[in-house]
Amino acid sequence: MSPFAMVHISSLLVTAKPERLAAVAEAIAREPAAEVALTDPAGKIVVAMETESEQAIVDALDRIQLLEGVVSAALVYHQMDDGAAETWIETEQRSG
Amino acid sequence: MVATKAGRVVATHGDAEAEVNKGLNCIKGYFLSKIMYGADRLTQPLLRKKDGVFDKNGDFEPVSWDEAFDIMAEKWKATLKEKGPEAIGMFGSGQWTVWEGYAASKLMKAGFRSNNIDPNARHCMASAVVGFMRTFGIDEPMGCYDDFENADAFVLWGSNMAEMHPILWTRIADRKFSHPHVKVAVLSTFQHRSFDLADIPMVFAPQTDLILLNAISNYLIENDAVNMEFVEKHVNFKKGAQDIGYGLRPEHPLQQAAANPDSGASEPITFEEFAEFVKPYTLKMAAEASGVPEERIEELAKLYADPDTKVMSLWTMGVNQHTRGVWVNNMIYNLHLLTGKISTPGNSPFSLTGQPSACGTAREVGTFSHRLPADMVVNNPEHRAKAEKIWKLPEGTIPEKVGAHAVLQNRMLKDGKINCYWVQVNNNMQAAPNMMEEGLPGYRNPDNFIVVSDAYPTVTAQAADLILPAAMWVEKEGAYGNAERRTQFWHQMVHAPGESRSDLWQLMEFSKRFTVEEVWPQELIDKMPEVAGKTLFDVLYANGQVNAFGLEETSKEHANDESEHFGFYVQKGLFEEYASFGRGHAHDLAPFETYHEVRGLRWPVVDGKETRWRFNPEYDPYAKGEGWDFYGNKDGKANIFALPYEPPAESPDEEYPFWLSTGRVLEHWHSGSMTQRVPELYKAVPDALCYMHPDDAAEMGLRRGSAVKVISRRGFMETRVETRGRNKPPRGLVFVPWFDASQLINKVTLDATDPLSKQTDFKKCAVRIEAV
Repeated sequence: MSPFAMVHISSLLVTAKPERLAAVAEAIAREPAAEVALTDPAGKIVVAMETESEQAIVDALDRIQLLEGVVSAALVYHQMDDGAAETWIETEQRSG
Repeated sequence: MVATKAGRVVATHGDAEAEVNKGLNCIKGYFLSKIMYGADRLTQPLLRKKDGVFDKNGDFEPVSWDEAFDIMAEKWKATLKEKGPEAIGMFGSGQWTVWEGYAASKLMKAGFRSNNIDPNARHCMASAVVGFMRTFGIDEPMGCYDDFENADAFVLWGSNMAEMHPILWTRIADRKFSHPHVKVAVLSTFQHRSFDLADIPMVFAPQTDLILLNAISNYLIENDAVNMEFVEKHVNFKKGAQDIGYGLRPEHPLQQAAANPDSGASEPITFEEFAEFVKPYTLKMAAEASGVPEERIEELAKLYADPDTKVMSLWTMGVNQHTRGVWVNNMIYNLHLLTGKISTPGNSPFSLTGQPSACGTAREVGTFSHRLPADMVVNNPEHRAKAEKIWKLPEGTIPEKVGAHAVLQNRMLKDGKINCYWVQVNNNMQAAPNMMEEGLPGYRNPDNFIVVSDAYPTVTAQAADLILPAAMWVEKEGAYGNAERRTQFWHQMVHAPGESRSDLWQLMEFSKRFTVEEVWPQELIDKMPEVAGKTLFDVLYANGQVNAFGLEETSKEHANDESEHFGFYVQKGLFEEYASFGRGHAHDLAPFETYHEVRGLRWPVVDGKETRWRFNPEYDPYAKGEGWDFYGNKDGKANIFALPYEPPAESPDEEYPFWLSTGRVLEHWHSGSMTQRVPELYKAVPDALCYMHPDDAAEMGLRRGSAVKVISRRGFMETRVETRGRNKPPRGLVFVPWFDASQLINKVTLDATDPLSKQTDFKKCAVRIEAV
C-alpha cells in the first residue's frame, strides 16, 4: 500500500508571539495548501491543510516554523484518506 | 496514537487525553511510523565471514539465528574461561524498554557476573544522576511537568528546548503569553532558537556558568534573599573537594596535575563559611568572566531573589555534558535551596532528559555500571544482598567492583581488556567522543568480538563483527519512564519484519546457551546446589517469578511475540520482579495491568495515587512532618555545596583558536540512525553544518556554504560553513551537529569527562577551521 496515492488531510497548531499573531496568520494563509481555521489572541493559530504528500506537510511545517514570531508548529492530526478505515490505538509518545 | 492498516503503522495522531503532549505531536513522534520502514531495515543476522567461516576482516553475510548465537556463545565462553567476567561488556540505552534494560542488567550482573554494562544515557544525564544523589540522596526530579503551568519564571541553564523539547516549550510559551508577568531567561554559549522567547538572553563564555551560579548565590546572600527558616531546618552546607581532574586516561598530563582526581568528597561547613566562599564571585567579576552585562546577571539573580516569583530552572546537555557537570547540577540546586523554592507547584529545579526512557530504564532499572534497581549500587554489600535475595540467587553472585562506564569501555576495548562486547539499541561508535583514538581501534581490535543489535546498519553496526536485526517500538510490548517519573506502557501492534527480534528475545534466548557451570565458579554453585546443571535462562528468567504469569493474561487484541515464544507473559513477569525492588522504598510502581489502563503514572505510586511533588508532605506520602522532608538523605536535609570555578580540560589557543560545541537540531535526534532513514527529515537539514559568526568567516575569507575542515589535536572532519542559520555562535565559537553519519564530528571531540559522573563534555574543545 503506498501512502502517496491518497489525499493527506492534516492540521497544525501554531504557537506565535501574540504581537506577531496577525502577521504570522497572514503568512500562513499565503501557503498554497494551508487554511487558517482559527486564531486566538493568546498566540494560537489552528491551521488545516490538504496536500498530496507527506513531504508537502513537512515542507509547509518547516516554512511555518521559521516565520518570524513563531514559537512552535506542531502536528495535531494527520489522515491519509483512501476511503478504507484504519485502526487507532493509544500510544502516548515521548514529550519531544 | 497510531493507526495500522494491513499490518503496518500508517499514521500517527496526537492524543488529546495525554497529559504530557496535550494532543500535540512532536515532529519526531509524527515520523516514528515511517522510521520503521526504511529501505535498509535489517531483517536477518549478519556475520563477517571469509570462505564460509567467521573472519574479523571478512564481509557481512546473512546467517541463521542459530549460527549467530553459536559463534557468540563460543566467543563468550572462551573469554570467560581465559580471562573471567571482566572481559565481557555490554552497552545499552535509554531506548531499551524497561524490561529489556532489566533483563540485560540481570544477565550481565547476575548471569555473567560482570558489571561492565552501561547505557548511552551515560552521555546524556550521568551528571544529573550524580547531582541528584549528592544533593538529595535520591535520583530524579522532585517536581513534574505541572510546574510549567505554575511557574512565574523559567530559566534555561543549558538547554535548547525550542528544538529539543518542542512540546514542553509550547507549554512555556502558553504560560508566558497568557500570563504577561512571566519571564524567560535563556543561557547558552551560543544563540539558538530558544532565545526567541527570552526576556533575559545570556550568551556566556564556555565554563563560566560555574561563576554565574556562584555570583547569584552571593547576590542572594548579600541582598538578604536567603530563606533562613528553610535553610536552618532543611539544609546542610558542605565544601566539595577541588582540583578533581578531567576523567582522562590516568597518564594524561591533566590527570597527573590534578590534586584530587575523581574525588567527590566533601566536608561540612557553616552557612557563614559558605557565604565567605562565594563572596569573591561578585556581579562585576561574573560579568568580566562571562561577557554577560552586570545588569543582566542581576536581572536573573532577582528572579531567584524575589520571594513571590516561582522559578522553574531547566537544563539538559549544556549542563550535563560538562567536565564539571555534577557541580553545575549541585550549584543550580543551591539557588533553589537557599531560597526554599523547591517541591511546591512552580518552584522546581528540573533536569530534563533527551531519551524516551533514560529515567525509566537507564536510571530506575539501574543499567549503569555502578547501579542496581531503585537507586541501589553494586559496591554496597547490603544492596547486593537484597538484589540476590529478590533474584533468588546465591549470596555473592553480583560482583562488588563497579564496572566500566561508557568511555572506559571504549578504552578497555582498545587495550584488549574487554574482548566480548554486545551493543543494543544505540549508535555509540558515532556518538562517543574521540572515535579515531579510542572507539574504532577498540571495535576493530583483532582480540575482540563485537555484536551490535540494531534495526538499521548504523556506523556502529558496520564496525561490528556480528549484527543482530532488532524489533523496534510497537513491534513489541514496551514500557518507558520519562523525566517527570511517569511510567507508561504500550502494546505490540505489528510484527517485526523478516527475522528481526526484540532485544528482550535476543537477551533471553542467548541466556539459554550457558549452563551455570560454564559461567560461575563451583563455590558459588555449592552455596545453592539446586541451580547445578541449570542454564542462565532457568536461573534468571524461569525462576518462578519472571515466568509466574501465563499467556492467558496477555492482551487478546494484541500480539506478543516474545511471550508466545517463551510460553509465559515475559513483560509482566520481568516488570513485577523489578517493581518489587522499589515498592515500599519510595520508588513504588503500580501493578502491571494499571499501566495498560491509564496514560502513565508518576512514581511513587502509593495506594493507587501518583506523586506530583516529592519531599512535600502535602503531595508525597513518603514525606513526613511540616514543610519539607528530603528523605533521600538520612537526616532529611538536602545539601548545598561550596564549589569553585575550575577551567575546562581544553581551551582555544593560537594553534586551535575556536571553541567547538556539538549538539542536535530539531529534525534529527540522537545519531540520526533512525531519522536519516526518513527522506522528509533528511531533506529538512540534509547535512551537518559548521555554524559560525559571519565576522569570523569573513576574516578567514570564508562564506556561507564554503567547504571547511574542522581540525582538533585528535582528528578532523569536513563540512560546510553556515553563517545565517538559526544557531548563531558568538565570535570564537563554532557549533557542529553530530547526527550526520557522513560527517563525523566525534573524530574531533575530546574524551574528557566529568570525573564524578564519567559523562563526556561534548561542548568544549579547541579546534581550528581551514578552507578546503
